[in-house]
Amino acid sequence: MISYFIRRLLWLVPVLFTVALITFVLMHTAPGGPWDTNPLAKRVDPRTEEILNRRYGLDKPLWQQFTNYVWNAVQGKLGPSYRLRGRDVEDVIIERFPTTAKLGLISLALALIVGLPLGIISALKQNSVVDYLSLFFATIGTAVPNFVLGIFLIIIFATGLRWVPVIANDWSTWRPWALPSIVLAAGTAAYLTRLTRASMLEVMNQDYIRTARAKGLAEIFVVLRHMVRNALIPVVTILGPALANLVTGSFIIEYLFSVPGMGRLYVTGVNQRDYSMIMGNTLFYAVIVALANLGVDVTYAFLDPRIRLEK
Amino acid sequence: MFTRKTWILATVLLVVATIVLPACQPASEPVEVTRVVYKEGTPQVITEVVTATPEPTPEPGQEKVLRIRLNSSPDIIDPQQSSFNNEIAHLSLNYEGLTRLNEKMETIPGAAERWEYNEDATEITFYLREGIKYSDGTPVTADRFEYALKRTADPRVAGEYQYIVFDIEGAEEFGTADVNALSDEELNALRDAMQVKALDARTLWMKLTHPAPYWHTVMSLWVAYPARKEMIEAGGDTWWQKPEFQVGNGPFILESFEEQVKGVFRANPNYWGGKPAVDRLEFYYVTDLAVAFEAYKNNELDITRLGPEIYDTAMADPVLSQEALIEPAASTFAIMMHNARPPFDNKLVREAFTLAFDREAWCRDVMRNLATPTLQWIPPGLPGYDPSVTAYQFDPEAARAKLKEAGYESPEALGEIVVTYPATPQLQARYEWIANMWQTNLGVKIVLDPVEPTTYTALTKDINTAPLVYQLGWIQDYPDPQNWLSVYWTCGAFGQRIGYCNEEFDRICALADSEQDRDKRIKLYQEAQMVLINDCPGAFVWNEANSYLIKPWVKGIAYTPMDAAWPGQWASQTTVTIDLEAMAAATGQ
Repeated sequence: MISYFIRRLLWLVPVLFTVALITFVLMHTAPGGPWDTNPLAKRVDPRTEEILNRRYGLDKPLWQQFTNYVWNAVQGKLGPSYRLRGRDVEDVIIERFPTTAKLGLISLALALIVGLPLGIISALKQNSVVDYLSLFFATIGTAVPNFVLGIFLIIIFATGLRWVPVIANDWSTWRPWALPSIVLAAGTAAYLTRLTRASMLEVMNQDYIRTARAKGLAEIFVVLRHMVRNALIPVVTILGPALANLVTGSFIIEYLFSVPGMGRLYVTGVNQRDYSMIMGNTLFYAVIVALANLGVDVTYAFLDPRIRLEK
Repeated sequence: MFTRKTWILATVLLVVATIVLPACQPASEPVEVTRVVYKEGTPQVITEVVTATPEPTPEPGQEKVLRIRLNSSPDIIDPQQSSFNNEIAHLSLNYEGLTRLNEKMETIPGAAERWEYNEDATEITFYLREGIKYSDGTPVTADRFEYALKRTADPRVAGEYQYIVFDIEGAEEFGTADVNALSDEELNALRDAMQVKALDARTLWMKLTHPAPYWHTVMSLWVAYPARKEMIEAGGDTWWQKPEFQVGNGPFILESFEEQVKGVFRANPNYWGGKPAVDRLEFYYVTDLAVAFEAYKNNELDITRLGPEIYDTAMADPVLSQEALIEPAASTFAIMMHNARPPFDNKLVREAFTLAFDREAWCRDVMRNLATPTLQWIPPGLPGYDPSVTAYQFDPEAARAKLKEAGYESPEALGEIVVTYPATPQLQARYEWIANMWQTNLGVKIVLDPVEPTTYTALTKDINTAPLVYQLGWIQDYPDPQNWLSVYWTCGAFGQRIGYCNEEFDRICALADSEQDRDKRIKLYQEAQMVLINDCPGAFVWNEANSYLIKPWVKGIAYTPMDAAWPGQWASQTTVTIDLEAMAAATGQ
């Protein structure tokens, strides 16, 4: 198990290097630079631009910029942000990541709490009212864009019922977290419901379930100890990337609810050609996704004894 | 029967709980607060533990709080590094420059009570008011402004508005020095060679590279705000994020700044111009306008922008439409043509396209009345604006005649005209309208070329890559025609990108720049502008409007065309107030 862990972690190194290289090349292929962000004709004076380029090393040849970057990144220094003057990328990410991660984890918890039981019950009571209701909610959760859902919920719960404020005043209380996590959870919950249901249906007809019942095991134990545990394997598979996705933030949700997280950093960084921000975020995402996948693979071994991590 | 599964479930629940539960705690524990105190003039950063009292809910009848929505969190609030509207909105509350602007956009005394130019306007001396202080009681002295101006030019700081002080002698040499090649001593020597000096505690003198009788207007800009040297040094790169280091001399004091959430200011009781009428001013950074609109309707905001997305809904509502303020802004936009590329190197062709532009329809139908048509570059309300200009008014027949005169018997002979613009949904609709208009009025074939926004900006920077037809605009830095004409249209300046260069225009501008008599100056600028208009570099089309929704209990706002962040931001800082009775009556709280 330990050697498996170490092997997987060592694999991270070439993966991250390749990610960095590809991102770097793509980034510099796009025309424009960090000082071209205002299309309104207010542009940086060319003399100042030259000074800025020299100061940040943007006038050096590309290969040299890349090697400098990798050398610094290995030491944990992801470079200065060009848009957020005076701050380093790693500081900004560390500062904003907890908020986004918290939102992501709350959303995941909500999605699991709603999606899993709903999927299981729909499978157990196939074609009943619960099943059709769950289909209805799942379709809405997937089909309605979260932007639209967000505004809807704001109008209903904030302006209408006044249970939460429209704009967040204080993120240390629970109210501002409610709507963004619900909207963020909606898509994942919908997907989880359907996936769990399908997986359960498949497991329900297996021989060993019939055997367990024949042996006289109570139905609740048949469901919990045999059906659910096996049905969860495909669910856990998607949980890894889903977790990585949620934890690294949704641009739209953060934009809509003005969440002080890092979800916006990436997209605005690309628009503004904030090179170090783009590179830093990409590498950060890559690490999170890799770790999430590692977590998923390890969880398999717990769920299914047939899966052995070592051969 | 504690199976593996149970352990996993328990672990997951525990992890989730530890993250979710802390959010449910009430906030009333002791908090560490950092402050800068002075012991014999040297700053020391001390940290003390304070029991944070839970924030009291503002009760009506007690505190006057003005809540304003801004569309994004400021990236940096540093007088010598900021360049965007939102950042400047924060700075202009916390600090004050040598001069300031009133509701007529005239330059009036700020921290300086008067100023004097020398004979040929190459030197200017500012005399500071007696007894002015920062909000913590430290006296505001002339060396503070010297520091601010030198810091603006400093290549080690390199703010985006650095170039604006290059008119001070020695500033450009200092500002463009190679930071990597020179040592700190050499750079400091260049800095000391910059010709701005505090002659004594209340007198600031500076020498300019050329006669510039508008310089006192430039000194109202945020680059001259006297940020505190000792606090910047104590705070390091992120000094500006901490309110204890942002001690300024303006009408407000920055109380707290939560990035991406809100910025809170309280009134400065020691401001020389008197304590502002409102007790607190809060900026909320709400990125989405529809959400801000909901918050406004829910009485969580007092002022928000009235953008095109919510314009129809707001104006259709009998109550909201009364709360709208739509006034021209100090910005002009034009659809320009590349003067150095065919077919637009032929002035007659440019004239044809300009005559075929229906500005009224544009402002009414496309801009939904959030813009006013214009035929000149300088916006209304600014000295130099000439209400008598009628050149190139909409006249499609004259347009077609000009095209024939240019030698194009039929519009097809022109070939395809490519119009380039940033690829956003809003602009897509606008440019389709423009293409249709020109096709209808002139019969020419227009090809639309949407380009990714940042790529677009990069393209427009250089005359070789600048598109054939594209939009140009200008929002003034300071309310002086010099900033509109000389800074933009002289050979080698911004207008150079479309290949515009007229030596006659340059000559008149140079005369106007140095002319000390105000009326003569304005006349000269008007003359220069006529040269520009008659050259017909493209179509001057509209002045954009600033549009806001303001709650009826907000009083004392004097709007200026420069109010790009919130109405009254420049001329109403001390006068804006909240009528608490009206607010209580209206909201029933």
